[in-house]
Amino acid sequence: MITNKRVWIGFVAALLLVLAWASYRFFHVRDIGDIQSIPVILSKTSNDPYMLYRRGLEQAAKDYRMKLSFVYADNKLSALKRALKKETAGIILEPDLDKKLPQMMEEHAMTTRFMLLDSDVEPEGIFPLTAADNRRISVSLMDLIQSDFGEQNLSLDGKRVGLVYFNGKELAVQQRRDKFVNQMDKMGMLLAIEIRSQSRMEDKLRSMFSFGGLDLLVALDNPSTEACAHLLNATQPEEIVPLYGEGYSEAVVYFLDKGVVNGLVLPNEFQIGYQAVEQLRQLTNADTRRLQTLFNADSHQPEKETIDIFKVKKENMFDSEFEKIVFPMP
Amino acid sequence: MVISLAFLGFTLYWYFAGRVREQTAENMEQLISQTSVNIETYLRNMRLISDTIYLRKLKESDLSEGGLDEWMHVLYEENKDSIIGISCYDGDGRIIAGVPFVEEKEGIEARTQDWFLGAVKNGGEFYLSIPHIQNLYVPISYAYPWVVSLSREVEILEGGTLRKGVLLIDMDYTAIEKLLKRVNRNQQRQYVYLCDSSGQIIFHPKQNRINAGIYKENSIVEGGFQNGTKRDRYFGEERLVTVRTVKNTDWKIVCVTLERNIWTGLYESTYYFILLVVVSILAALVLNFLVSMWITIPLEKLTDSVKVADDGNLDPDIYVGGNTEVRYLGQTLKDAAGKMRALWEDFKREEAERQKSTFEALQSQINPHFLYNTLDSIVWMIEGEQYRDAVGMVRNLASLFRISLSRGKTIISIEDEIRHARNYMDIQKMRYHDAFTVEFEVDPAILQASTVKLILQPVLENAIEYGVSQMDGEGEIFVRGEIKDGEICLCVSDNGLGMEEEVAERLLTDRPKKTARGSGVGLLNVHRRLQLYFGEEYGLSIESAPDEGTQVGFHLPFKPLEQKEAKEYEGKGR
Repeated sequence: MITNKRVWIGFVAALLLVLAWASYRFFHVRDIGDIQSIPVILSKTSNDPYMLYRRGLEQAAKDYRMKLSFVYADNKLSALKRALKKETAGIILEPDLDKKLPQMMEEHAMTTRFMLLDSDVEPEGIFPLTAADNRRISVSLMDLIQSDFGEQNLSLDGKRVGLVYFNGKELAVQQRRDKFVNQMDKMGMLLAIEIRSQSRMEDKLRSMFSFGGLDLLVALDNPSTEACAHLLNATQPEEIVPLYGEGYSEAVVYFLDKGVVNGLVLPNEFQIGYQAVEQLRQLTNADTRRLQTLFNADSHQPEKETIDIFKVKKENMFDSEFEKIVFPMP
Repeated sequence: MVISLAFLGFTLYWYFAGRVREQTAENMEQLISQTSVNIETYLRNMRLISDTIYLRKLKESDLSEGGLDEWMHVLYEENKDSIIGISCYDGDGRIIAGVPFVEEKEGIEARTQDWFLGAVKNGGEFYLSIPHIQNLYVPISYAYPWVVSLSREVEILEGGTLRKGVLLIDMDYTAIEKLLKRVNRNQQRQYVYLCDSSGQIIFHPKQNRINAGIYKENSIVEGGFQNGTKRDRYFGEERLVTVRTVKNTDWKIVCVTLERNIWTGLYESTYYFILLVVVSILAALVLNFLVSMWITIPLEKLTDSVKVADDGNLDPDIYVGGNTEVRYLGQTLKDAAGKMRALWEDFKREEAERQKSTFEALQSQINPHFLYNTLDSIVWMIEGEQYRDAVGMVRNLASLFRISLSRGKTIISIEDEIRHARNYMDIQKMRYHDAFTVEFEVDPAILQASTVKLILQPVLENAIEYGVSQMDGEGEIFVRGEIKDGEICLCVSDNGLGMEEEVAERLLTDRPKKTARGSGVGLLNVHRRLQLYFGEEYGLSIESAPDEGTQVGFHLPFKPLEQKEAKEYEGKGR
């Protein structure tokens, strides 16, 4: 009798539990969570709506019901301070060389998730990062140069290089620069001139062109590649100076097609933007199972998401392999 | 009930799930059908443009007469929302005409391009390329448009001679994209993409993600599907895929719905069904509980009240209430208890009467006055030297006592009862000096029948005492025995003083009239004893009238006396 009663009580209790669960699910089945608003702090030079990684960011935000508020700032630290005041769950940040940035991020690491874009803030790599491997970009640039010179049976030894980059404050560009200089040393190439800003770039380069002081130009970021291409296209120096650079803008691609740019290294920017949002979502959702995939099991440090890098030349830019990367579809 | 409710719930759920799946497939068919119409209309327009240029200009007039550019220009202007450019090339890939006018790129060989090769291969039939960057002209403002090329091999009349060429219409990819974006507003649930039969994607709502390697599509397999709806599995994901081929092309419109999205739509229904089933089960349980209580509570009350009766209480307060059946049961038990109580009362009363009757019978057996008077008479006889009479009286007295005792039996033969009566009357006659006469007339057939003993003596005693003893003349007492209607009828009649009819009637009731010489219960006692042993239908009957004597009838069943029956009667009387 008592057993019978217990069975019934158990049965009714189970029914009530199912009732509670089903009621909860019934009333929350459409509840897919609030739309998260995420600040994205980028360099002012990245303020280009056609930038592929911005499109990647926006696409991922749309897919994962997130709202991105883009902030383009020279002073990342103050932008970060303002974003932190809003007590946001996560922040996507394209860091610069300001050493206070990592300090501030560490202070808020318990309450705010950070996703770094394009480059790390410190060599230890405490924060998750989605970026093309900057050192590999430099190596790829050197590969392109070697390939072209090799085809012409020309040695790189003693070649005078003009190195141009505008976002020198960014760690990413610094990493590229250091690696490329390292590669040059290995090849016996000479750094004829290093230009870190757009101001007086034209004068300096024209001056170099005038006496044939450069064998090739290497631009380490999209703005510098674009500026160099414009200059070469406009100047048309007597001695042809081949230009190799990193970039993805329409102008850069146009100059590649025109032959002004000899080779282009092009990271999969869309992928960078998309994965940054995707991973930040995992971080802000605080799903520990998913978080494990973001952190290395041995080092307990964040995994670095490496992004595809394409080496594109005029000859292959319309190949189906590269076409959709070089010319993003509408 | 619980199982049937659960079964009903799940059956309904699966039925609706099936209906949702069918509905989804129908919606997909509808969606894809509309998309197909839009794309076919668009492509038909493009073919019409191509036909117009080819059939009405290239075929009908000599190229050297000019005017091709104007033709193309007019058609381009009319359709520039959906066309990037129109060009005509000769068989060597040299441009003959083209709009809008732009600078040809150096080093581009048209005849090596897919659209050119495809058109030549198709031999006059239309060739549709997959989307590609138009790479024929120097871009304006860095713009590299994505196009889908519609090309065909044409015959060009120039200078009176026909030669082969290729007519190219570069359709604006964004125009196709617009057509398909409309049906891809809710990509979370389902999406539509366009590919050719080899699986090359022409449009996909997740194109950027596919290009960036973030997303993959099963277009190679699904591009090979025939028209209709199929289930497909890709990267572990079940999909419902509807395919429709665009007329006159090898393009396939593919509508994909992820199975989990179909079920996502059903989740609400699922939880609703679970809620419905669980609430129904709970309601059924509560109802069941209430009905059980409605039945069991009155039953428990009834049981408790009956238990009181089990403990020996003959007047239990049996519960009568609850539903009809329980109330009926309670009422029946209550009635039964009442009857039991009445029976018990009857039994107690009859037992008391039987004991009283037995006591009075014993009392009549050893009436001390009778014995004293008889013995006094014997003394007188001996003193009067009437030895013979004395001996006779003593013998009669001895016989009287012998029969009276009957070895403790209550049931004796009528013969013994008559003998006992004779002895008694002989003694009485001697005592009363033959003041009355007694006559016995008994049918010998009844002599061996059974009777309760000592039934005649009290009646004879009454006949003497209240009938004939006080008469002036000679009293007569007549005892008769016979069978009448299968029953034994004994009758004691006298010609004595008699009594009022009313008094005679009351003698056999519970309220007999007491007299100065008796309790008035002698006849009633005999009557009860007969009823007690033989049944209610038997007993005494009295008929009397003042100065006309009294007649007392004995009604007994005719039962021959056998040991067994005698024992049976003995048992009844006990």
